[in-house]
Amino acid sequence: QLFGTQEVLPRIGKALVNPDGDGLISIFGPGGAGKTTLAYEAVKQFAGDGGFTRVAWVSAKLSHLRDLGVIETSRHTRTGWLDMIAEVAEQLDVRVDLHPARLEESLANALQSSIEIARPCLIVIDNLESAPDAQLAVDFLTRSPVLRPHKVVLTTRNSARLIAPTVREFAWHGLDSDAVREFAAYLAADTSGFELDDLDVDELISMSGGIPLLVKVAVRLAVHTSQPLRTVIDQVRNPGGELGSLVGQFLYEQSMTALAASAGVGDDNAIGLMNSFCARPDGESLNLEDFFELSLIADRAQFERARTTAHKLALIRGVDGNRRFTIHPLLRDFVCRG
Amino acid sequence: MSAEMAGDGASPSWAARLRAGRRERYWKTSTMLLLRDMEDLKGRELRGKIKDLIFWCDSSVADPEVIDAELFADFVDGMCRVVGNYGVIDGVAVEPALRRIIDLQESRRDTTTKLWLTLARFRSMISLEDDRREEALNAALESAPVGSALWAESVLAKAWYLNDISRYGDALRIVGRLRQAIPQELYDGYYACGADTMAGVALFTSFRDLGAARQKLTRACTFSKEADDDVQLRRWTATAHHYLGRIAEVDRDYPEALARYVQGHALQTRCPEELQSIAFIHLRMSEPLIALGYFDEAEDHLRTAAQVCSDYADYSSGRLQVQLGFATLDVAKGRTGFALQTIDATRNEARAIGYWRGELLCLGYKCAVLLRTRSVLRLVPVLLDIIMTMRGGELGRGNAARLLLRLPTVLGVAVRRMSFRPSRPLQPATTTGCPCRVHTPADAVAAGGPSA
Repeated sequence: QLFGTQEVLPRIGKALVNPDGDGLISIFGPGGAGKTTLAYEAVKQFAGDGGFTRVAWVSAKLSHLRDLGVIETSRHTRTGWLDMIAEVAEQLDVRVDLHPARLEESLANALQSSIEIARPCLIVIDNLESAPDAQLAVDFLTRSPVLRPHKVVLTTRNSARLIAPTVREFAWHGLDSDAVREFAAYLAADTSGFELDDLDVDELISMSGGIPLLVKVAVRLAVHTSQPLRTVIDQVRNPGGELGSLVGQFLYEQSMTALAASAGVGDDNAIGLMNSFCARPDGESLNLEDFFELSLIADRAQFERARTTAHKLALIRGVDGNRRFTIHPLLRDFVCRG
Repeated sequence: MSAEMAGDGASPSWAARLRAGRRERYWKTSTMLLLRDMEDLKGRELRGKIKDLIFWCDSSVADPEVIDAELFADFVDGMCRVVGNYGVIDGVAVEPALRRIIDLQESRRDTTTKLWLTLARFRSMISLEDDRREEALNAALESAPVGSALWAESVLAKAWYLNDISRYGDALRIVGRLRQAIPQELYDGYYACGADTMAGVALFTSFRDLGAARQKLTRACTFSKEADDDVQLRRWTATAHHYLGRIAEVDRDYPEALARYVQGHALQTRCPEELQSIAFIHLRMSEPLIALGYFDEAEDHLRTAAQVCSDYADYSSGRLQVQLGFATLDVAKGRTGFALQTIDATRNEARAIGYWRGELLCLGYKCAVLLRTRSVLRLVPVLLDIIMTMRGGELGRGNAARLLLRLPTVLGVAVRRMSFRPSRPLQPATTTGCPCRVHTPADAVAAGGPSA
């Protein structure tokens, strides 16, 4: 369920379904604001009305390759970009020449064939987190005849208008106060005895800055530890009593403590469980068997207990009907780069 | 509150404890899972793993203390195969990663042979003829005790490299050293397969002694039973069958050539996926089929080869050779003009991506087609084109001498098609079609059809 998108979602939908409208649509905003969720909902609600017969969804996440200072960055970005183009072709079931020198042109030509023009597709390039990533995508999309009747949706951290004046942009900075209030009430609704008063919600709005993950983790932590929400938020204040820039980190620390303290989990299992996600790139999910092995938890029952508790604490997410598991990018940063 | 401390301010933060939890066992588990995936997955699923592999390589290098060097060499070797198969565009992280691990191993006085071999394999993806590939192979040879299994593997890897760069005499010499230096039992029981395969390839490709080449390759194929349980032996025997097929083609024993290619294909598909090898087998199968007049079957194999080539980022001549295979089919069908158009288009494509060897290969083919159709006058501009290509290509980079030395080899591919030097008496062609499983399903074989 989405919160706070009543105004922006129909506008994105209108841009998607208009065949004469802009072919390149961008949703931009800070990390963790929920751009991916917004794009997903827009595609789910409007792709059919827009006449799109197929959707390709690729997660860019090219910037993780740039962590090591010794590695020449631009070439790596390029590598990731071309792999992504190949992935788009694969998802659309379009045959392309995979030679690096011909790949971009090959996809552009394929999408402009009469067969493909008759079957418009929607391409979502999610998580273009840095300016060079966005530049690569926009350069290709605006230079080549990829668009029309097809459309492309980008999610980026920064406005793409400077690099592509023709892009149709939608800013999304996360939940506003009313949306935080609604979301928190929704998260707490099924928990008997757990109350949220106005002061709790005001504190939550102030603490989270509208980042849905922080709202979710704080409420789930309060529910799991049976503490008032204000107590949880007090614990993540800095020594000066302020909610500083490290509030997310402090909140995750508290959640890890709660996970380790849960019955049948313990420190080692909590560490092993969360470290599993550092073995694969940002944005990847793990199947249950690999998750179990990577967690280094010896006993399957213990692993299941740890996994269930981490899920309740919003530290991990189940996808594909809980057959695969993943972690929010902000949490992954905390776990794997801390 | 410090980022490194949390809660009571005295215990390490969870972030620090999480970091400390990623040690040897964690690294080994993740690496083993990726090795398993590289072994088990094929096609799209395997291609989807490339991102994970490169990520893990980068992560491993960032924390070399937790790495098991032997396992890392296996991992990088597998990664090179997958990346080489599907083509991540460059592997800029791989070489520094390997060199860091080699330095680490040397500082610990641990073995580095496997790592050097992996580095050589990685360099071969970038260019077959590569100084750093040769340096890595030499380092592998120096790092392994003479006569050991690792040394034998280094010798055979070097022999493969020498064959790749057309130094066939050197390849034969180094393979000869192998026989003398390793224990007889080890040689006879295992490495004779690789040695005979490498020697057979050298003898055939240099056109020195086809009879001796056949003898060695046939001997390599006697390891077929042992190859059931050993990937390396399967690779060698698959290669041996492939080259026996090529010798049979030279002898115009096309049924035998087809039978060998089918056997090579069956072995190759039981190795971890190597798309380039599979594409080449289909290309080779088209050649005897064209010679026998089975044009539809030949076209099927050419199309399969083209499809496999388009599934990976092809740096080699595979893709171009497939297009030239279509030109050969056109010539056989009497559509010479169309064939020449295909050759010209292929040449332009080679030029567009700066692949000078491919361009020369096309010109060599064009020469062969024009000679075959006795269009001698039209040969002159083609020969001039060859000279111009040299000027714009290697000559411009100051490698004229090397190019001129290689030219006969490149042109030899075309010339060999036209030449006919049987290594044994001709056999009558008695095949009734293509014996592969697509054109002759197993039930047809059981009913008395061609053998697969």
